[in-house]
Amino acid sequence: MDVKRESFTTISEGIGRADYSANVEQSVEPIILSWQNEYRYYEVLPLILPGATLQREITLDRNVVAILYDFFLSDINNQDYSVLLELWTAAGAYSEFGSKTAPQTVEFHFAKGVPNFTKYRITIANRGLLGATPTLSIHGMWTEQTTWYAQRIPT
Amino acid sequence: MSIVQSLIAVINFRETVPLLQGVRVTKSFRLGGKITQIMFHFPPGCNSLVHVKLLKNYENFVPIQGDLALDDFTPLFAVNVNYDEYEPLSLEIENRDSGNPHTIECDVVIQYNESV
Repeated sequence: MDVKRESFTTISEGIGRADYSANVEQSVEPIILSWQNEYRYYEVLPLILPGATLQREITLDRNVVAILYDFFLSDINNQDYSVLLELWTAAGAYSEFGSKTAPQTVEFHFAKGVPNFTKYRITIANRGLLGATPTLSIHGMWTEQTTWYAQRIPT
Repeated sequence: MSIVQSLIAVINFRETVPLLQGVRVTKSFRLGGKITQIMFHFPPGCNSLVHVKLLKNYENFVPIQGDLALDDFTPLFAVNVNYDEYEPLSLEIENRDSGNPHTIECDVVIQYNESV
Protein backbone atom coordinates (compact mmCIF):
# COMPACT_ATOMS: atom_id res chain seq x y z
CA MET A 1 0.00 0.00 0.00
CA ASP A 2 1.48 3.33 -1.06
CA VAL A 3 1.42 6.05 1.57
CA LYS A 4 1.78 9.72 0.75
CA ARG A 5 2.26 12.27 3.53
CA GLU A 6 2.16 16.06 3.35
CA SER A 7 2.66 18.49 6.22
CA PHE A 8 1.60 22.09 6.62
CA THR A 9 1.18 24.71 9.34
CA THR A 10 -2.14 25.87 10.75
CA ILE A 11 -3.60 28.59 12.95
CA SER A 12 -4.21 28.48 16.70
CA GLU A 13 -7.74 28.26 18.11
CA GLY A 14 -6.76 27.83 21.77
CA ILE A 15 -5.03 25.50 24.19
CA GLY A 16 -6.33 22.00 24.86
CA ARG A 17 -5.11 19.30 27.24
CA ALA A 18 -2.37 16.71 26.84
CA ASP A 19 -3.54 13.34 25.58
CA TYR A 20 -1.78 9.98 25.64
CA SER A 21 0.35 10.88 22.64
CA ALA A 22 2.37 12.98 25.08
CA ASN A 23 2.77 9.92 27.34
CA VAL A 24 0.57 11.55 29.91
CA GLU A 25 -0.88 8.64 31.83
CA GLN A 26 -3.11 10.94 33.80
CA SER A 27 -4.36 12.89 30.80
CA VAL A 28 -7.78 11.33 31.17
CA GLU A 29 -8.05 12.15 34.86
CA PRO A 30 -10.59 14.86 35.55
CA ILE A 31 -9.22 18.10 36.86
CA ILE A 32 -11.05 18.90 40.07
CA LEU A 33 -11.90 22.56 40.11
CA SER A 34 -14.33 22.34 43.00
CA TRP A 35 -14.06 24.63 45.96
CA GLN A 36 -15.03 21.78 48.28
CA ASN A 37 -12.77 19.40 50.17
CA GLU A 38 -13.47 16.01 51.68
CA TYR A 39 -14.23 15.95 55.38
CA ARG A 40 -13.28 12.75 57.10
CA TYR A 41 -13.26 11.83 60.77
CA TYR A 42 -11.95 8.38 61.70
CA GLU A 43 -11.23 6.96 65.13
CA VAL A 44 -10.93 3.54 66.70
CA LEU A 45 -12.63 4.27 69.99
CA PRO A 46 -11.21 3.20 73.33
CA LEU A 47 -12.71 0.25 75.16
CA ILE A 48 -16.39 0.60 75.97
CA LEU A 49 -17.44 -1.85 78.64
CA PRO A 50 -20.82 -3.65 78.43
CA GLY A 51 -23.55 -1.22 79.43
CA ALA A 52 -21.18 1.75 79.33
CA THR A 53 -21.36 4.93 77.25
CA LEU A 54 -18.73 6.95 75.44
CA GLN A 55 -19.09 10.48 74.11
CA ARG A 56 -17.16 12.27 71.43
CA GLU A 57 -17.46 16.01 70.95
CA ILE A 58 -16.09 17.24 67.63
CA THR A 59 -15.58 20.95 67.13
CA LEU A 60 -14.94 22.55 63.78
CA ASP A 61 -12.62 25.45 63.10
CA ARG A 62 -14.81 28.56 63.12
CA ASN A 63 -13.52 29.52 59.68
CA VAL A 64 -14.74 26.26 58.18
CA VAL A 65 -18.19 25.19 56.96
CA ALA A 66 -18.81 21.43 56.87
CA ILE A 67 -21.71 19.43 55.54
CA LEU A 68 -21.81 15.87 56.78
CA TYR A 69 -23.50 13.02 54.92
CA ASP A 70 -22.53 9.68 56.44
CA PHE A 71 -21.92 8.44 59.94
CA PHE A 72 -20.72 4.90 60.60
CA LEU A 73 -20.10 3.01 63.81
CA SER A 74 -18.92 -0.55 63.36
CA ASP A 75 -17.46 -3.29 65.47
CA ILE A 76 -16.53 -6.96 65.05
CA ASN A 77 -18.77 -8.08 67.91
CA ASN A 78 -22.30 -9.03 66.87
CA GLN A 79 -24.07 -7.09 69.59
CA ASP A 80 -26.24 -3.99 69.79
CA TYR A 81 -24.91 -0.46 69.89
CA SER A 82 -26.89 2.72 70.34
CA VAL A 83 -25.72 5.93 68.74
CA LEU A 84 -27.08 9.38 69.46
CA LEU A 85 -26.13 12.30 67.19
CA GLU A 86 -26.47 15.83 68.51
CA LEU A 87 -25.80 19.20 66.98
CA TRP A 88 -24.80 22.38 68.82
CA THR A 89 -27.46 24.95 67.98
CA ALA A 90 -27.43 28.73 67.93
CA ALA A 91 -29.50 28.60 71.13
CA GLY A 92 -26.43 27.32 72.94
CA ALA A 93 -27.53 23.74 73.52
CA TYR A 94 -27.30 20.37 71.88
CA SER A 95 -30.19 19.20 69.73
CA GLU A 96 -30.69 15.63 68.57
CA PHE A 97 -30.56 14.99 64.82
CA GLY A 98 -30.17 11.21 64.71
CA SER A 99 -30.64 8.22 67.00
CA LYS A 100 -30.43 4.53 66.20
CA THR A 101 -29.77 1.13 67.78
CA ALA A 102 -28.52 -1.70 65.62
CA PRO A 103 -26.35 -4.82 65.82
CA GLN A 104 -22.68 -4.55 64.90
CA THR A 105 -22.97 -1.59 62.53
CA VAL A 106 -24.92 1.63 63.05
CA GLU A 107 -25.21 3.84 59.98
CA PHE A 108 -26.72 7.23 59.35
CA HIS A 109 -27.05 8.66 55.84
CA PHE A 110 -28.24 12.21 55.28
CA ALA A 111 -28.87 12.65 51.56
CA LYS A 112 -28.93 16.43 51.78
CA GLY A 113 -26.28 16.63 54.44
CA VAL A 114 -26.40 17.89 58.00
CA PRO A 115 -26.29 21.66 57.68
CA ASN A 116 -23.79 24.18 58.89
CA PHE A 117 -22.81 23.90 62.55
CA THR A 118 -19.84 24.56 64.84
CA LYS A 119 -19.71 21.33 66.81
CA TYR A 120 -21.51 18.04 67.23
CA ARG A 121 -21.60 15.30 69.81
CA ILE A 122 -21.82 11.55 69.33
CA THR A 123 -22.85 9.31 72.19
CA ILE A 124 -22.20 5.58 71.84
CA ALA A 125 -23.69 3.02 74.17
CA ASN A 126 -22.55 -0.60 74.28
CA ARG A 127 -25.72 -2.64 74.73
CA GLY A 128 -23.99 -6.00 74.45
CA LEU A 129 -22.29 -8.36 76.81
CA LEU A 130 -18.73 -7.88 75.55
CA GLY A 131 -16.35 -4.97 75.86
CA ALA A 132 -15.78 -3.34 72.48
CA THR A 133 -13.53 -0.89 70.64
CA PRO A 134 -15.75 0.14 67.73
CA THR A 135 -14.67 2.31 64.84
CA LEU A 136 -16.26 5.70 64.27
CA SER A 137 -16.15 7.14 60.75
CA ILE A 138 -17.76 10.33 59.45
CA HIS A 139 -17.76 11.55 55.83
CA GLY A 140 -18.75 14.83 54.33
CA MET A 141 -17.32 17.91 52.69
CA TRP A 142 -15.90 21.18 53.92
CA THR A 143 -14.92 24.53 52.59
CA GLU A 144 -13.54 27.83 53.86
CA GLN A 145 -16.29 29.99 55.31
CA THR A 146 -15.66 32.90 52.95
CA THR A 147 -15.86 30.56 49.95
CA TRP A 148 -19.05 28.99 51.27
CA TYR A 149 -20.84 32.31 51.54
CA ALA A 150 -19.56 33.41 48.15
CA GLN A 151 -20.97 30.27 46.54
CA ARG A 152 -24.37 30.36 48.23
CA ILE A 153 -27.33 31.24 46.06
CA PRO A 154 -28.79 34.48 47.45
CA THR A 155 -32.28 34.02 48.92
CA MET B 1 -13.53 -24.05 -9.98
CA SER B 2 -12.75 -20.78 -8.20
CA ILE B 3 -14.41 -19.71 -4.98
CA VAL B 4 -15.29 -16.07 -4.42
CA GLN B 5 -14.83 -14.90 -0.86
CA SER B 6 -16.28 -11.76 0.67
CA LEU B 7 -13.61 -10.21 2.80
CA ILE B 8 -12.93 -6.95 4.61
CA ALA B 9 -9.89 -4.76 4.69
CA VAL B 10 -9.35 -2.05 7.31
CA ILE B 11 -7.36 0.95 6.17
CA ASN B 12 -5.87 2.45 9.31
CA PHE B 13 -4.71 6.00 9.76
CA ARG B 14 -3.04 7.02 13.03
CA GLU B 15 -1.12 10.24 13.16
CA THR B 16 0.44 12.22 15.98
CA VAL B 17 0.30 15.81 14.85
CA PRO B 18 2.48 18.43 16.56
CA LEU B 19 0.94 21.64 17.81
CA LEU B 20 -0.11 24.12 15.14
CA GLN B 21 0.69 21.62 12.41
CA GLY B 22 -1.42 19.87 9.83
CA VAL B 23 -0.90 16.62 8.00
CA ARG B 24 -2.55 14.95 5.03
CA VAL B 25 -1.95 11.22 4.71
CA THR B 26 -3.10 9.36 1.60
CA LYS B 27 -3.51 5.60 1.37
CA SER B 28 -5.25 3.24 -1.02
CA PHE B 29 -6.23 -0.40 -1.34
CA ARG B 30 -5.36 -2.68 -4.25
CA LEU B 31 -8.87 -4.02 -4.82
CA GLY B 32 -12.24 -2.39 -5.41
CA GLY B 33 -15.27 -3.00 -3.22
CA LYS B 34 -17.59 -1.11 -0.87
CA ILE B 35 -16.73 1.15 2.02
CA THR B 36 -19.05 -0.01 4.81
CA GLN B 37 -17.76 1.76 7.95
CA ILE B 38 -15.68 4.75 8.91
CA MET B 39 -14.51 5.35 12.47
CA PHE B 40 -12.70 8.34 13.91
CA HIS B 41 -11.13 8.59 17.35
CA PHE B 42 -10.55 11.82 19.23
CA PRO B 43 -8.73 11.26 22.53
CA PRO B 44 -9.63 13.34 25.60
CA GLY B 45 -7.74 16.61 25.44
CA CYS B 46 -8.47 17.57 21.85
CA ASN B 47 -11.03 20.09 23.10
CA SER B 48 -12.48 20.53 19.59
CA LEU B 49 -9.19 22.07 18.48
CA VAL B 50 -8.21 19.23 16.15
CA HIS B 51 -10.03 19.39 12.82
CA VAL B 52 -10.29 16.15 10.88
CA LYS B 53 -11.79 15.12 7.59
CA LEU B 54 -11.58 12.16 5.27
CA LEU B 55 -11.30 12.69 1.52
CA LYS B 56 -12.04 10.13 -1.17
CA ASN B 57 -10.34 10.71 -4.46
CA TYR B 58 -9.27 14.13 -3.11
CA GLU B 59 -12.88 15.23 -2.57
CA ASN B 60 -14.61 15.75 0.79
CA PHE B 61 -16.09 12.45 1.90
CA VAL B 62 -16.69 12.45 5.68
CA PRO B 63 -17.97 14.96 6.39
CA ILE B 64 -19.25 16.15 3.07
CA GLN B 65 -18.85 19.74 4.27
CA GLY B 66 -16.62 21.22 6.98
CA ASP B 67 -14.75 18.92 9.35
CA LEU B 68 -15.04 17.00 12.61
CA ALA B 69 -13.56 18.55 15.77
CA LEU B 70 -14.54 16.56 18.85
CA ASP B 71 -13.19 15.59 22.28
CA ASP B 72 -13.04 12.16 23.91
CA PHE B 73 -15.28 10.61 21.31
CA THR B 74 -15.18 7.84 18.74
CA PRO B 75 -17.87 8.41 16.10
CA LEU B 76 -18.71 5.51 13.86
CA PHE B 77 -20.38 6.04 10.49
CA ALA B 78 -22.07 3.19 8.61
CA VAL B 79 -21.94 3.85 4.88
CA ASN B 80 -22.45 1.96 1.64
CA VAL B 81 -20.16 3.61 -0.93
CA ASN B 82 -18.36 2.09 -3.88
CA TYR B 83 -14.57 2.01 -3.68
CA ASP B 84 -12.43 1.67 -6.80
CA GLU B 85 -9.11 -0.15 -6.73
CA TYR B 86 -6.23 2.12 -5.75
CA GLU B 87 -8.66 5.01 -5.18
CA PRO B 88 -6.86 7.45 -2.84
CA LEU B 89 -8.24 7.92 0.67
CA SER B 90 -6.78 10.94 2.44
CA LEU B 91 -7.04 11.81 6.11
CA GLU B 92 -6.44 15.48 6.77
CA ILE B 93 -5.73 16.56 10.35
CA GLU B 94 -5.23 20.12 11.48
CA ASN B 95 -4.05 20.52 15.08
CA ARG B 96 -5.03 24.05 16.05
CA ASP B 97 -4.05 23.45 19.68
CA SER B 98 -1.22 25.82 20.47
CA GLY B 99 -0.12 23.81 23.53
CA ASN B 100 -0.28 20.08 22.77
CA PRO B 101 0.30 17.46 20.09
CA HIS B 102 -2.61 15.10 19.47
CA THR B 103 -3.02 11.62 18.06
CA ILE B 104 -6.01 11.00 15.83
CA GLU B 105 -7.07 7.63 14.45
CA CYS B 106 -9.31 6.86 11.51
CA ASP B 107 -10.27 3.38 10.29
CA VAL B 108 -11.96 2.73 6.95
CA VAL B 109 -13.55 -0.67 6.42
CA ILE B 110 -13.72 -1.90 2.81
CA GLN B 111 -15.69 -4.97 1.93
CA TYR B 112 -14.44 -6.67 -1.23
CA ASN B 113 -14.63 -9.91 -3.13
CA GLU B 114 -11.64 -12.06 -3.96
CA SER B 115 -11.41 -15.23 -5.99
CA VAL B 116 -9.55 -18.06 -4.35
